[in-house]
Amino acid sequence: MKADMQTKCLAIIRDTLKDSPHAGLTDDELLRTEVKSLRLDSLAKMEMILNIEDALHIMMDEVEISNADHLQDIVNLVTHRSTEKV
Amino acid sequence: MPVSRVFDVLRVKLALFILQLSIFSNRAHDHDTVFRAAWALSKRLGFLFNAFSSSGNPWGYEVRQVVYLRLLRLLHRQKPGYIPKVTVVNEDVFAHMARSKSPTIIVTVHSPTDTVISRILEDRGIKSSLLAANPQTVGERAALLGCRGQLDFIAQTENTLLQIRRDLRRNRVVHLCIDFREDNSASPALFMSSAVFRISELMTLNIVFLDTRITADGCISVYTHVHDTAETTGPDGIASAFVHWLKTTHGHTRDWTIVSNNPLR
Repeated sequence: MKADMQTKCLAIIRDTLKDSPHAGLTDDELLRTEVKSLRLDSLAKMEMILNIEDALHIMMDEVEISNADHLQDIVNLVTHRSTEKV
Repeated sequence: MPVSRVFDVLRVKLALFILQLSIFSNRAHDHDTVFRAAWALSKRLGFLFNAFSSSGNPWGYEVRQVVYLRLLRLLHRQKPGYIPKVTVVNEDVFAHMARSKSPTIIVTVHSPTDTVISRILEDRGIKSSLLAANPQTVGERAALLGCRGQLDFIAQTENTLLQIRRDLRRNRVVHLCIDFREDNSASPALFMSSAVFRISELMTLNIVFLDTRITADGCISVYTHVHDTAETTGPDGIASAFVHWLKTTHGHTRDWTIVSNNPLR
């Protein structure tokens, strides 16, 4: 279940980054990537979160998401939230 | 610096100096009297202040608004305590906002008096947040316009829209200027971002258009319009409706290019 959530979440993150230099990273590299280094504007970041929320039927906490330093932190928040919901 | 620009700067400096003298000579009177005298004088000095229409005004503000804010600054320095007069047209929009539990976003365009919104909301007990690139400058301007409380700012970062969504979910009114120009650009091009309206596709949102004008007697008039999202399609459609409202209802002559990206970050 948790692995499935992580896979879905990573797929959405990859889709957001498909035209960026981060597109070719492995999953591990991607998870270690700093969110700031993605240079997303706030619309792109919000849309990424919205897509995650839509796909996993969850609602994320904006403050927690804003404080996430690495993509791993976002994935952790998502899996935690999904587990909470289930 | 071109010679014409030097002359423009000198014209404005001269006009401001004359206004300073007026305030100084009337300083024994009450605030309203001092303001009225200086405001009347500023109109007679229009031929000097018109320099703002050609230079030192990259946003293309209405000259009257620029002069008004300059006058408030002078007044604040020489005789602090003047509270600008504000008239709210369509007061019922704010009365509804105070009662309503629906999230509300107020959009406007940059102007010397745009932060008066904070005061209007504060006076009516409506909790709000505002987006600002430079909170210190905006806070000082809001204080000049009569805002007394602490402002809650949303910073311009990659989290701006998420923060806006958070505040809307907490039933705070969010207000922001959605027009922008390119940083350090000499170009007069102005843009209007529809990015924030993307949120209206996610939650039921009251969208209020707002504009401020300065009346001939030196009062700030605040105009609002509640936008009906059924009348438009998508975020760009709402931004177009806002531009249309500004131009047709309030005679704005500035031209904005609508963009969907988010210059707010």
